[in-house]
Amino acid sequence: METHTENKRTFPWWLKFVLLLVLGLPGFSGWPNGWLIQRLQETGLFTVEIAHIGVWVFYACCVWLVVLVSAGPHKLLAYLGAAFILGLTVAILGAVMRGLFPFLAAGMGRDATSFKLIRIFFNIIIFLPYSILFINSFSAKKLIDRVARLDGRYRTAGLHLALAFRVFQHTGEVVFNLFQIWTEEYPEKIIPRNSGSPGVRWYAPGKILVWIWACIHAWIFACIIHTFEPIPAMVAEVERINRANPEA
Amino acid sequence: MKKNEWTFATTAIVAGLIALSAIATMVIRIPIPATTGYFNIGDVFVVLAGLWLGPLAGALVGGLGPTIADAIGFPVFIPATMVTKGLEGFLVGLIASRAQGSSMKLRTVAAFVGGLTVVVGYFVFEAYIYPAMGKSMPAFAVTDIGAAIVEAFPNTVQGIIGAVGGLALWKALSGYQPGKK
Repeated sequence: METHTENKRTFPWWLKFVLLLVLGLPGFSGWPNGWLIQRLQETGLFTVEIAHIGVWVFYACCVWLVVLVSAGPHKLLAYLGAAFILGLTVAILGAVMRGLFPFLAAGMGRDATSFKLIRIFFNIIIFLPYSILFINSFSAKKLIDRVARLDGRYRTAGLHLALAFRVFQHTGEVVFNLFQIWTEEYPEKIIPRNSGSPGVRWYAPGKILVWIWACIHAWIFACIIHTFEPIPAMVAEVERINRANPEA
Repeated sequence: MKKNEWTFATTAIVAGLIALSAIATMVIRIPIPATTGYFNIGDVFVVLAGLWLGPLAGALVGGLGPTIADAIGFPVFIPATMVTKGLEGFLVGLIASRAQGSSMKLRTVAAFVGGLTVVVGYFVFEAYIYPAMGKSMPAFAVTDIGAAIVEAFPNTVQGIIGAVGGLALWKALSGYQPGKK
């Protein structure tokens, strides 16, 4: 977090914005990844799938390097932890559903489906850390201070936007920490360890559905509580700024 | 929520719900290979926003939250999600705003109309709009009418879970009105 604060001081906001847009360009436009994939294929050393995967891995490393330099190793590991859990969950669930309900593939070959799942996995592990870095690279407090100096209705609208941005930043920080909280305090939510305990009934694997439901339930309520907890304080602060000089 | 009642607290709650709907959409994702789309539970928060805060908040949460999630992993679905989920939140809020007191009848109808909007909205996009767009922009050529029919089933399940979950959360939170102390 301190490194984030340091960088917030080092660069003007517009430069950070431009640099982050440039970093995300391959994701938004497909360039220069498409060009690189074509060059790799032309060498004749790589199949189209391996060329794609090679370029995605290279791009992922570039994004992670920027996160490392900007946010530090602890944040990078936290973001990657969340990204890999999400990416693997999606890919594994996709593969399981393909096996259970083949009609969902609508006649697509297994290789084509697998390649799509790998593509989704890479998208998640690249763009989740990138998105959190993007949101956390700007200071909500500075934004509120700037908006507070504006005039008339732009000021009120600006304060609403700044407050929304602050809530976004807060949610992004706390919700991804839930992964760590769960692994430390509720390991049974991550690994159903009791499945191997003595006295387990033959129908114990069926309890996986109960476990999934309990996880989703706990997740939703934990998200709501952690997200809304500081909102009254944030709102009170913005209302105080708004009241202090309403016609500035 | 009545007109002119949009306070800083409303903005903060809507922003929180946008973030939560994006996260809920990302956390439980089951890909549908036929269309490259996916099943998720983000609709719970879209329905909740419409029921709790009205059509504008519903449209904002639906139009922005799941769209942010689509940007991470499934960017081709951004236009379909923004329109369909935005409309879902708006319709839920519009119908629910006519409900009297804490009556569940009209709110239940509103939540299920929201679920139906998801099924119909994605079907229209995947069966007609994306194939038409795909002719000039190949990135959108990911679905056709057959794939859209296949995805109607998971979308129906998603719509039902969103409606039931949204109603349950609304019931739990309905005692609180933003801006009132």
